[in-house]
Amino acid sequence: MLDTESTKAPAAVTSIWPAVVLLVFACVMLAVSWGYPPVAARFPVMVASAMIALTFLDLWSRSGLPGADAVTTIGGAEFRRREMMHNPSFANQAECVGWIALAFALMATVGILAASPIFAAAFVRLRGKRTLAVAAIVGLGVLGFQFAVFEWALDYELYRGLLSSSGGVSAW
Amino acid sequence: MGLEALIAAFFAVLNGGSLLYLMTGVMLGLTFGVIPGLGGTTALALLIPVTYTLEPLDAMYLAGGVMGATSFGGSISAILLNTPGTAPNAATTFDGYPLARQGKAGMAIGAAATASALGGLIGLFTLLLFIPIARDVVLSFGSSEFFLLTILGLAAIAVSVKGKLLRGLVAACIGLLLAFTGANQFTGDTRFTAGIDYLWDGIPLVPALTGLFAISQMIELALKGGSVAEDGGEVAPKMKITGVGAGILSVFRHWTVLIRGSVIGTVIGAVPGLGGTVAAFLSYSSTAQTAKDRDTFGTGNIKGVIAPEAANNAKDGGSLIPTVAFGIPGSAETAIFLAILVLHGMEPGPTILLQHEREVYGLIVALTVSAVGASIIGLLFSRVLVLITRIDVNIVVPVVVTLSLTGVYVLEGRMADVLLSVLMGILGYLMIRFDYPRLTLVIALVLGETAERSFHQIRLISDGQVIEYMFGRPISIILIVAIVITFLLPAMRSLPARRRRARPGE
Repeated sequence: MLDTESTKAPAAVTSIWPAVVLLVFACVMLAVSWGYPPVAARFPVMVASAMIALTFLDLWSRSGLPGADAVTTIGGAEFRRREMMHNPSFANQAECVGWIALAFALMATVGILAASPIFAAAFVRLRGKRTLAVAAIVGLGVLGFQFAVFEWALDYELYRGLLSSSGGVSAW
Repeated sequence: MGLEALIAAFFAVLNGGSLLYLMTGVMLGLTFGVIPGLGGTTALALLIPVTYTLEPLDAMYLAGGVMGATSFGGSISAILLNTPGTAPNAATTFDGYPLARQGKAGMAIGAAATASALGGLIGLFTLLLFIPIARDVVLSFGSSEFFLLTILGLAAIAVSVKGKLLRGLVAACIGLLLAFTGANQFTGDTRFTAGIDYLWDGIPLVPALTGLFAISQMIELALKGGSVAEDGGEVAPKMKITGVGAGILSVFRHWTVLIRGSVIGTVIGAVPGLGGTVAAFLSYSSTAQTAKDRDTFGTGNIKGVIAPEAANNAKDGGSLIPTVAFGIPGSAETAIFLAILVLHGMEPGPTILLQHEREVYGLIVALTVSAVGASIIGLLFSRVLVLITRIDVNIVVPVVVTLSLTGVYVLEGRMADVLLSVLMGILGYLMIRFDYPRLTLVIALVLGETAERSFHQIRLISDGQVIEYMFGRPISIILIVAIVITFLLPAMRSLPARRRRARPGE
């Protein structure tokens, strides 16, 4: 079953692009590491160099060039036992990541206590397509928990947001 | 000295408050274990900030309660819904679900509960036997051995994530580079900070782990959609839970299966990175292959439930062996356990057993009580627990996201931690999506500092002759050989298959 799953790995996952991005990242890290004094640079240079070699092999194993199969087998670069078996669209993935970014943006601007119920209710209503009543219950539940545990029981003042606190982003 | 710490930790549990933390951990572990996609790692990541306000020993009880209970929690949904709560419980579905469909769900749950509890106890007993030896071993190690151990730990983890050696090593490199962020401990030079003051102290472990495990898992779960118990659009039918007593007795009747599973679990758990999934599947397959009634496996054989459950729980004790002996986390859960130690001002590393004996034994006692307590509580509440899996993920996701980000903020009162957690969450999701194992990144992030410090120490001691110095120490030579063998293992395993494929007609 696992092998069947392996062959069904989406093209986006098995394409060369993840390896290319990591290869570029490793090259940048190596260039930056070289700029440090010798002792501080020693280990980062070693690791970045090793990463360049490994990502190159990763790239080769994905390329379909001669020897790619051998690199895949010997280097253990198959796509078996994947954690994520479903294949969502790019738009769907971007939307989900966007929701997480929205959670942070709300917390940063209006504060954690206000943002948590707004985010939870909005997610349940807009992403989950649940009724307004369910969204309100979830939002109020989150608010109640945050207030009861952090503000009341632990007597901890949660972040009030850029709009209500001084110091701006530098106070983070 | 160890026995005194063990007895002290045991009596501390009897204290009302501590027992409450332990039982809270057990309930949380069961709940998170039952819900597929969440699991013990997410539960522990969420709990890290909560433990900040606790005494170190109470924090161990809470964490131990969760660690000991998630495995059994996962088996409940595996048996009743054919949906493993945690990855290792996948092996339990092979015979657990057919048993449930035959009206023997109670028998399967009873067997799983008993095998989990006894397997967990056997694993922890092995750990207790190993600790006195480990102390002497640790004392005989120098910086050369510790450096090589970190390399061996990373190699073992990268190799163990089957079919992902290359990507596992790439992830380890990313983890190491992240670990180098901030001021260098030897020279004070700052690295990879991009001029951001926040990064001078390095990447804080707790926000990073929360992002990599809790946030990324929520993104993945949100994309999957539906309710967590859904499989291919169909919700598994409701099952009756009767015949629990017969299931409990069946474990004693098949005691050899229990012992075999527990031994496999303990040994596999002790190898960093292998974890419960490998232990459970290996135990299941070895039991199925050697049984006289092997044809009945997969159709509802109770031994097919006992074997993986015993191994899955025994691995908890085994995975603590490299953690307590060398400060090398054997699994994601133990990596988070080390993060909890950091939170309480303790340095993860090879001296953990020597300096934090009280907390280590506290965790062992917590795991022991949890292994038994989770089975009892799980049996009592299995009907209620399984209902949790029917909750829409679109309700679970925002709740977990807001609570985890709030928890991260509460730790240090820094919004930058929350931002880091979100960024790590996105990185973690990309790793899930493109099949790069997160575990090797996390282990490298934890071990990076130790590796660099040990390496610099060797250079100073050996006057730059690192290789000659290492080859002059017998234990170092053994470790170098072990590293080479570890890296060669995947190729050695795959070559016979390649040769067979290369010969036509065979």
